[in-house]
Amino acid sequence: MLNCREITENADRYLDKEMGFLERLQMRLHLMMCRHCTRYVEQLKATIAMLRDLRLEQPAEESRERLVEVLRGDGGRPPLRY
Amino acid sequence: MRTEAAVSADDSSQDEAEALQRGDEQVFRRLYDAYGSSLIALARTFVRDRATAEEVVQDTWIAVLTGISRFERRSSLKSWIFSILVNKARTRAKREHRSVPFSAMLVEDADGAVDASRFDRAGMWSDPPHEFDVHDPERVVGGRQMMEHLAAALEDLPPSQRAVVVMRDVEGHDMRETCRILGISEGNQRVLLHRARARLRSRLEQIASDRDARPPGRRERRVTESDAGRLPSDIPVENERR
Ligand SMILES: [Zn+2]
Repeated sequence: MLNCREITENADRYLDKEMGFLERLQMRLHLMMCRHCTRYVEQLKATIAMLRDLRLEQPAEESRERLVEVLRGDGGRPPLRY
Repeated sequence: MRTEAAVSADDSSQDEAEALQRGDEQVFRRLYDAYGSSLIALARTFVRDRATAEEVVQDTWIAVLTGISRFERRSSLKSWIFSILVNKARTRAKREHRSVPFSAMLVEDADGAVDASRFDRAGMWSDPPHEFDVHDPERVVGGRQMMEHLAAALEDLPPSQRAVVVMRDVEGHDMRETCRILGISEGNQRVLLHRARARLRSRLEQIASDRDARPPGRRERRVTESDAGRLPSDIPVENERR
């Protein structure tokens, strides 16, 4: 029988479905009986979902437009060098 | 939005590579906008500051645009672009004499997913997860949205954990691609991802429960085994009698 600490150590493999049948079943059994671990797994799942929607800072638009010139082959001046 | 663009890039890698070869500016702009922020975030796990990261990203795109005819389609266009970025970033980090994040990664912290003090000797919760509203990423706590807290927590992760979580969860690469692009084993990837996610969850839990919108003075002790899941303690007792 898995204890709660073991559940937290394996929760993300469980969410990623990187578990065999037996291990998965053990997780399920524990989660059915333990609301604390159920909460933990839900919080972890929500964290991952938030990461997917995270709006990280975008690069500057003018950098993009300088690259468009590279794409056009407007090679009059060499592409950005630092 | 970004996620959709990323998905379509995977599905239509072929066409997009061809479009870039033809010099299709719209396709280029779409790819640039879809991957830009993740490329920067990934570059920043290797180099010193944001400005340098932007340069690495710029160099990456130049390499993509000038080398697109050499794209062999053995991977998706997206993973090809990310691989180029990692190579550029590594080279840059070496030039700056910075240690590359994956060289010493497994020693950087060896804590469990949850602080050991929160379990009893049998490994059962003694201080169970504090409840927070996981379905409202825009909820404001301590003057910032939960989303923003998460972005800040991501910044604070050790570089190699950050790189893996950006690849897997922010950008949605699968495990194989992530390992190939970052040049790490599946075992290491798994450990890093596990630690990163666990830390991020802990931070959200901590932020949500430390600076909760509870009235001052009512900030009671941590939730304990016996009262977790019950009514919040600031509901007056009279309610029960009615
Ligand atoms: Zn449990």
